Amino acid sequence: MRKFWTLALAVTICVPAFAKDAAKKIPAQSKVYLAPMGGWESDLKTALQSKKVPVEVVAERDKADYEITGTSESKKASTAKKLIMKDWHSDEQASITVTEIKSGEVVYAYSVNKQSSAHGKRSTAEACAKHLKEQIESK
Amino acid sequence: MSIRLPILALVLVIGVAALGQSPNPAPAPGNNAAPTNAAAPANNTPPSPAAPAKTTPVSSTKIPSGSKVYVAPMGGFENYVIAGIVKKKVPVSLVSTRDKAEYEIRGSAETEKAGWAKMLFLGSQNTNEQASINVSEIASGNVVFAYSVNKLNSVRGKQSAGEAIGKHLNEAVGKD
Repeated sequence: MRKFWTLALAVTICVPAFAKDAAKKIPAQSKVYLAPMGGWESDLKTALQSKKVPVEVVAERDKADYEITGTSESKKASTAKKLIMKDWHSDEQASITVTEIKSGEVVYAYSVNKQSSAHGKRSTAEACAKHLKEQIESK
Repeated sequence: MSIRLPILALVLVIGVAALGQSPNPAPAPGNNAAPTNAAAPANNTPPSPAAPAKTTPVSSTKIPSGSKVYVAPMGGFENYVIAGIVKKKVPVSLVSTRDKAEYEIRGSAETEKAGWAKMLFLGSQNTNEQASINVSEIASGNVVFAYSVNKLNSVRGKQSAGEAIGKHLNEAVGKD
């Protein structure tokens, strides 16, 4: 009886630990589809290339292993900001979610907020690409 | 004898007053988040035995670790919530379709941009953010967790609100 309880305790401890270890990772050279994000997907595609993210971007969702969905918002500098703060740069925020298409599981997500972004949407796209690359290359 | 009588009368008055209040028990300290249950004892009629079984207090149920959670569309804010959950390492498995999920997160978010007066007088161009979510168990439809956040002068905009939700959701998920 004691053995049973010991085994049950071991299973209870080990199963969640395995579950955490089995957190999905994006393998290098995976095929990735960029879902429409109001034009921002083009910036993200460019950023994936410029940051040399080891993924293959495909045009059709059926051919992809992973899908990147997300949203991007841009707030242009208002007249008040230009006059009072003497700042012409826009404020940018974006968020991406990487989903494994087969299982439907979210494997990675990242959000970024850049105030007075020097390069507009390009900055947020490159930030997302940079962090995605880190996630893929991390052990 | 003349002193004892008023004391006795005072004790009697206090005792009767206390007895008069006892049918309306004070709510338990942990049940502040369950307004639906708090409303029932307000009527001085005794609660029917079936009444407590119908509603589950919001704070009583914990989301099991490793549960599959679906984040419903919230006008783009769902991506920030997902990012917040991932960043705060909430031990749940996020799925993209509702059918595969055990729990669903719904909510809304609002952003108020800084006006010229705020820029002029406060020198701040940060936005005000407010968001609210509720987590419901899909099978039963019970709301198991709810949280709202209001961030004045949010430095990171929606990202801050999303991460605040992730942080507090972490506390609601039962860790084994």
